[in-house]
Amino acid sequence: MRNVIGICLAAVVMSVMMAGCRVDERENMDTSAVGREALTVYQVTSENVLSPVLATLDLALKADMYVKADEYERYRLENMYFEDYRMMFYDGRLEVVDYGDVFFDGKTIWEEGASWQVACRGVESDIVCTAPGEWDVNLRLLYTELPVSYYSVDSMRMHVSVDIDSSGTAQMYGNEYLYRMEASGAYAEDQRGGIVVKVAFETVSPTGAVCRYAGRPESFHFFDGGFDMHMDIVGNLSRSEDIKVELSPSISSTLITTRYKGRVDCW
Amino acid sequence: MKRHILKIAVSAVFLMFLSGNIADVSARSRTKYVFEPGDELRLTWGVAPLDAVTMGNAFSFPDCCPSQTITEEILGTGYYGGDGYLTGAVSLTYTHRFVKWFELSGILTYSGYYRDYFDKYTGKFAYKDNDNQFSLIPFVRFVWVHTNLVRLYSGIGLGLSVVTDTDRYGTDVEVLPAFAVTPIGITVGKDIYGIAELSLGNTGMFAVGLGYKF
Repeated sequence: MRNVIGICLAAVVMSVMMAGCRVDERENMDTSAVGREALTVYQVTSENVLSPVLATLDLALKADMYVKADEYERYRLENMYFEDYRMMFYDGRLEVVDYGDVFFDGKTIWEEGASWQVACRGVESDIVCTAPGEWDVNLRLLYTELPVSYYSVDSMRMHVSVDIDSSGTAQMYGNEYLYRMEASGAYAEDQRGGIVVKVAFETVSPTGAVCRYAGRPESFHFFDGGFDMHMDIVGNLSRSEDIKVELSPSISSTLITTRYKGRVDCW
Repeated sequence: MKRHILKIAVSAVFLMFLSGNIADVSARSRTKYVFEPGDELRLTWGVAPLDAVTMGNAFSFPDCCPSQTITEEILGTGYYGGDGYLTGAVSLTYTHRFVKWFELSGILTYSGYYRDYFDKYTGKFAYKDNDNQFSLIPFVRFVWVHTNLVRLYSGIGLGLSVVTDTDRYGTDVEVLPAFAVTPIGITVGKDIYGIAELSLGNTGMFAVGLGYKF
């Protein structure tokens, strides 16, 4: 009898060990795929639509620095901002080979009324200085192709400013300009999987922006502000969703809060 | 994985002790060992089998590459998973003892993986992801230590597996080779005995179980 009990106990031990072989954990509903949809829409908007357009203004300001600099300062600026590129300086034009072109109008870009044309990685815009430290970035839709080709801009309005202190120095974050951006517009993602996604966006307040990587000048990080977005999906799936994005004030560790389909998620 | 191996090792020692108790009469009498041909039935459980089910599901990685487009995110992640479980290799073995040093077996092994998936918008059950692998392996065993109580052996076998993979899109069936190479195994006991094996193949890297001679 004792031996039979021992055998049964051993069988129970084996069964318990078998049942404990969990290899995948339940996915956390707090950061579920629902909230990730909203985060993806924000990331696509900021990375693939807003950043390339803002990069045209950023290139214009750096080109202005370069034009005003002496030989030694130009060498320093090339190493700082355009290390992987060759600079060609013509009369009324600065070419950053394989990156962008800036066409001047005889005025510094910081002077009210100045209007420069900039082409940067397929995006073309007219930069108009509306006040010292403030610019309208007018996208030339007809000539623009976004770096990620399966996105197309339907409309875009962008007003950008840089704070200037009493000594006339623009506010920087390291070697990069600190921008305040107000923008609104709409874009579409090419048809895939039988659906077309269209997104309209607008900043809720002037939102901070700074160039993210020295080696990738058209990528910008956004902070201290937010976006109201609306997504329409047509095709095999039909949906209409509102997305609110809030960005915390910190530059280095920005908290992204998304409000979507009744959920609030933080990233 | 280390914790599971430790559990199995503890269980193996436990089984050895039990089996020794069960067969203690013949061992303590120290009578001369006499081989008797016959048959045996074994039931074992092995951890970390080298099979399609385990290799395909044991190593799960978090989302390393977030969706590149909004469409991928909308269409690609309609569900979230619950806990996923591997059964390990459960084997039923029929053995015939021909001579003292040679045995021939047929091993039927099952290995499975189970995970429920839920709709990401409603939280309701959506479908079950279930992989099953049934293997049939003819196996030869060479017994190099044989006493009334203890056997030490090695063995090798080659056979076939049928693998079924069921998810929300349906069920796929595949036929694959199956094998087991046992450098060392030990049984302790007379008529009812405990088993512990180190192996490579479909039966598991480290297996424990019970056997019965008849």
